[in-house]
Amino acid sequence: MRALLRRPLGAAALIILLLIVVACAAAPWLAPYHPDAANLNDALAGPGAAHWLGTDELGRDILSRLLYGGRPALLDSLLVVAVTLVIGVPAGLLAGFLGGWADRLTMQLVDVGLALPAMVIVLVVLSVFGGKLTIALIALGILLVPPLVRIVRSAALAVRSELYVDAARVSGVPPARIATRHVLPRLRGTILVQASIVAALSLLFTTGLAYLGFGATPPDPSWGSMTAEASQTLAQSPWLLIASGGIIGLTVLCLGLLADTLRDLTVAKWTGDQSAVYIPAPRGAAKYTANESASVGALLSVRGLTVTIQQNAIAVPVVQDVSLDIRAGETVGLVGESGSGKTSVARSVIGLLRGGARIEAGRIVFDGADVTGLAGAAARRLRGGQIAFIAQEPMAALDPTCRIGPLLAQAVRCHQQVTAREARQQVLDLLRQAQLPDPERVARCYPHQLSGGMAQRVAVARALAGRPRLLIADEPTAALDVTVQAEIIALLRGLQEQTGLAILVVSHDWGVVAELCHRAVVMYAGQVVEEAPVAGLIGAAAHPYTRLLLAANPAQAPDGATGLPVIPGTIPAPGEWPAACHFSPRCPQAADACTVGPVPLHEIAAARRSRCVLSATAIEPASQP
Amino acid sequence: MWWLIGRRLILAIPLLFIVSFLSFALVALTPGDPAVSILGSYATPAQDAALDRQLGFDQPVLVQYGHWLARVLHGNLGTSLSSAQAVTTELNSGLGVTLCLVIGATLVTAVGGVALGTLSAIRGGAVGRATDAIAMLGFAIPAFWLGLVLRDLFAVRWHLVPATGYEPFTQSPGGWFQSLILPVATLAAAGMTGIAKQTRDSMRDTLARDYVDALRADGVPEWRIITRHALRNAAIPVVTMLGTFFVGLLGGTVLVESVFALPGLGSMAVTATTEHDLPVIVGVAVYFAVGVVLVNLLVDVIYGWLDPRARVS
Repeated sequence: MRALLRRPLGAAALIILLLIVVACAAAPWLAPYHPDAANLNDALAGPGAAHWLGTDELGRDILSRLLYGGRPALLDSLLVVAVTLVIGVPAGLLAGFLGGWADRLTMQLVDVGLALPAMVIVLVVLSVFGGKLTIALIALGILLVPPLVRIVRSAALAVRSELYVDAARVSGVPPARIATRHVLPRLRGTILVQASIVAALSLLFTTGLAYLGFGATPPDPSWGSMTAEASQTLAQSPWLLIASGGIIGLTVLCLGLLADTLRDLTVAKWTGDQSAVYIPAPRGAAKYTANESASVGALLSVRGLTVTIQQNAIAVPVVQDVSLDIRAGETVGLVGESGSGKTSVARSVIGLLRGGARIEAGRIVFDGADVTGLAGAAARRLRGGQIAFIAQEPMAALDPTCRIGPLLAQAVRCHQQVTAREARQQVLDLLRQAQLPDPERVARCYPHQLSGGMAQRVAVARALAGRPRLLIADEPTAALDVTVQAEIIALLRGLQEQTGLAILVVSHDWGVVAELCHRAVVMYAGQVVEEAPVAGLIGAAAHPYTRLLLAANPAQAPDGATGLPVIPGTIPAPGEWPAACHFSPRCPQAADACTVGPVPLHEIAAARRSRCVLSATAIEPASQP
Repeated sequence: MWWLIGRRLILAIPLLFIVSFLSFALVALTPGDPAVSILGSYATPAQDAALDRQLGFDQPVLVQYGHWLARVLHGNLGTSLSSAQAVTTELNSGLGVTLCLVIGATLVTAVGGVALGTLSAIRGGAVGRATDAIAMLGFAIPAFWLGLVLRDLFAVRWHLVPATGYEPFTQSPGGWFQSLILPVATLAAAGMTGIAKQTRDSMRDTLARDYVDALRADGVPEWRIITRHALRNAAIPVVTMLGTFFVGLLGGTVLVESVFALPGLGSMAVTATTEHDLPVIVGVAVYFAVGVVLVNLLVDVIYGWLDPRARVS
């Protein structure tokens, strides 16, 4: 309630709604005239001091009639809401809570109910019962039950599977008590939202019925019948129409806004934010500073890359001052736990950062050209045509409604001026190159007809469609089972030997890195902590984090070892990184020197760099902890 | 695909049964003697009994329903009490008007709503907020009131289109079009904003998917990603909503046909209700239920066409 009042729109809607209800309830005291007091000398007058909203064709005061006319409209809606809630809430609760046949039966009835044309059924009821409105309203209430049941049921289902409900069940609390004591309170928000919507719908419905002449009997006023009267005198005076339609619209609007606000509040409370949305970086917004010059001869050169995300209006770094090089034909592994920022680095390179992340500083140079924050046609030529990207989930990367053939042909034609026929031929060649059996059949498949391993091969074929020079593979094997993993690694290796493609492999798996990569760059909490040739790194890591990470790898564990060594603690979240060595809080070798200030990445040997104050001494005794 | 249509047809049977039985039971269970309510309280008991026999009201309810259903399956919905015409003849004369109105409104709603929603999803910001505001207004403004306002402005004041009435297409295609513009606009206004909002949410959800990112990584232009890939995926939940939307549209037809004095099923239902002409109003209910069944079938076909995953059994 207090949260609702803090939202200006929701609070205003609630206040206006209460004012309308109170004013109509207090009509006998508030109305300046009797609703039926006619004065033909003053018919169809506009708004004025005597009649604030003017008069109708019999000279009756419109304001007074609106106040009295709201009573049947609001009471009718109240009856409908009551009927709907009394039937719908228990039915939805029972269906969601009991499950099984009760649930199936209820949902069948709901499906049928949703297909019933409510207006005509109400007219049938009205004509059968000789225009008895109360019975028609009860029927309307019943007709509005199905959508409510569906929503309450799914909410109840969600709550039912929660731990505390399970706990209550296990400890022997009777189901009825669980439903009313534990589940119902959680559904209060959902039910309030639905009650507002049902109220709005029934108000529209009952005023519509009154407009058609199935409402209050004349001369008693009601909002709907006033609209009908207004249509007769519209040519002479629009005021009655504006007033009667306006009050219906305003009341429904307030109910709708109330429902929207309540829904926002309940949803926000339970799901948190779900911002995985790609937001194109504003052009020229980032302050790129080249604090190091790009190295000559590298195909890709990343310099001083800092990526930030917005957290409560503060830019929090997720990648901090990362530099790395990849030469043509070289395979580099970017290694680290999840949360280390390795995927953000990879996505920065092709300009596809997600979740509102943006490049705050640094430079990305590809083949001598600055490609930082590239947009438009230049970015499209780069993506796929120069740098290809294979995302983590091979299946999720495929449009479920698009066959493989056309999807890949589109990628081919984005980068080459070829006919549809040539593109189709190239697609088959690509699929064959990715060692997919029966390329013709695969090209005709929809994604859901592929296995995970096939989808990953399709992703490889797709990446090659634009004849790129660099391939970025984000966890290329994480979603696959072990035998398929080995096949994909062999495929990537073969491709590199054939085509001289440079590959950046993002992975947490040392097995993949050792099999595929020449060099490894290890990241921890947004920073590069170590960089070395893979052969030199395994067995002789300079940074304590790298050593622990290597030791935690199942493939490295000695036979018969009891359990894997784990790195104590967890990787700190962005925004909680220490100013000094990011790893120092978890480091078994941390000394006073580690917490003094930021540790620079320093050269410890040829082609080897480490970000550890101890690494100058630690490199020799490379004993495993 | 055929499996999908078959399943929907099987689901349609209970719906038709329930609608017909509900309508029928309501009529049969009417408190008091239906003949009395038809003939008024001045008729002699003999006249009442004669009418009861004529209408079959003197037999048990289920027997009556059986007879009624058998007749309905032969395309006989009975005789109108007020015009003494066959109900099907009477309703068929209004079917064309209502079909034009409903199909027109559905097309305008679907095309306009999806376009507006897509625009709102990709532009966001002010356009998104404007869509929200208009959607809320579209929901709040009663259709009959909007119809009256449009009629007053465009027909009565500016004489752009005729205020009321209907011209069949066969008599004058131009006049037919003009007579439908305002009713279709009125009906579409409410639904269009709802569909736009749904499309916007669904489009946003789709644009955040991995495969959209993957298409960007292919170097596919953004407009092509939206028109060729995202729109189709985003339309899937919207299409499933069209069935429910159509049911609401039928309710709107009743009001809008009355406002514009169109001689369709909706205004027939209103007249029949005022005159207690039960066979006609029950006939309208049956026509509408059949319409809903057909639209649900169509929705399933479109759904299966949009989403290849739905085609497998």
